[in-house]
Amino acid sequence: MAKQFKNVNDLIKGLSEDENFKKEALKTISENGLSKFLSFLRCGHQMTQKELAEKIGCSQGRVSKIESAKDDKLSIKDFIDYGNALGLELEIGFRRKDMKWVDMVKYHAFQMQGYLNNIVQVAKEDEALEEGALAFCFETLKNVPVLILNAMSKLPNARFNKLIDGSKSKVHISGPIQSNADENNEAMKFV
Amino acid sequence: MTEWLMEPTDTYVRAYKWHEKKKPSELIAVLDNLDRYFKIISHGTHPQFVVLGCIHDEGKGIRAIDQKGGGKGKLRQTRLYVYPDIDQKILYLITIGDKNSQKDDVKLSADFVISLKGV
Repeated sequence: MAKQFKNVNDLIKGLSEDENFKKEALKTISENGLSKFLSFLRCGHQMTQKELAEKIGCSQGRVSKIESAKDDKLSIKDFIDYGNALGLELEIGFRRKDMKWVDMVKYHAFQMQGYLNNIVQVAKEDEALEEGALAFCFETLKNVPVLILNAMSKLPNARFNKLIDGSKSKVHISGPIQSNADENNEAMKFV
Repeated sequence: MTEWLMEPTDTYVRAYKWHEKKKPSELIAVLDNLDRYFKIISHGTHPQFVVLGCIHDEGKGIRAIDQKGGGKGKLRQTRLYVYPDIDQKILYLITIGDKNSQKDDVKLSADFVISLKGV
């Protein structure tokens, strides 16, 4: 079977023979992640650069320039313009550079808890809303374990079965990195 | 959800190594644009909806990714030919060429897709 690659970085690392070339290519590719993200947003909305330019009120050339710009050349206004044109709200966040995927899962779990609490809070004192909130909580209760099981099922079978057997005796839930997701992650949203 | 993967052909690997030695800036520029294209389809956008200034339709689902906007400086025209196999979620990297080899590259890419899909 031919060799396959998960991303362009792996492709470069796998095929390049010259260390300087490899270093330069990886550096170049990493310098415009945000403008690539803006291209992705536009394409995801099935919009051409010209159509987006019309919505923003600028030239197609300007959109092209934004989408090929290095990250340090983009402005907040560019993001606001894309958001307005595509009907999206801008959220900006930071996270610690040393955050691991497990921390991200915990962070999002706490975020989810916050949103569910908001739904429940709004639904109080209105029977119809209460029913809706309860139905949605049940839906979440059903769907979230499915997501986790889907991930677990990708582990080799032997290991997965061992984990399941082990979980019969006790359930271990590791603690979050701190008690409050917003405080610990510095992933504050600025709307 | 299955992830998209990239699979280079032998022709592509040879062309890559040649460009790495002879036209490194052009190769970096097309790889930068390939990265843009691949990230967009990997995040769920159907390949046919990816409209970028650096991407050209070459028929049979083949797309040519050029050097425009990628990399740095003034660069010679260079094109990387790809075929996104939507069923298998594999982006085939077929070859890399320039203006002079364009006709042959398009023919080679079309033959590749015919042998792959039988159409």
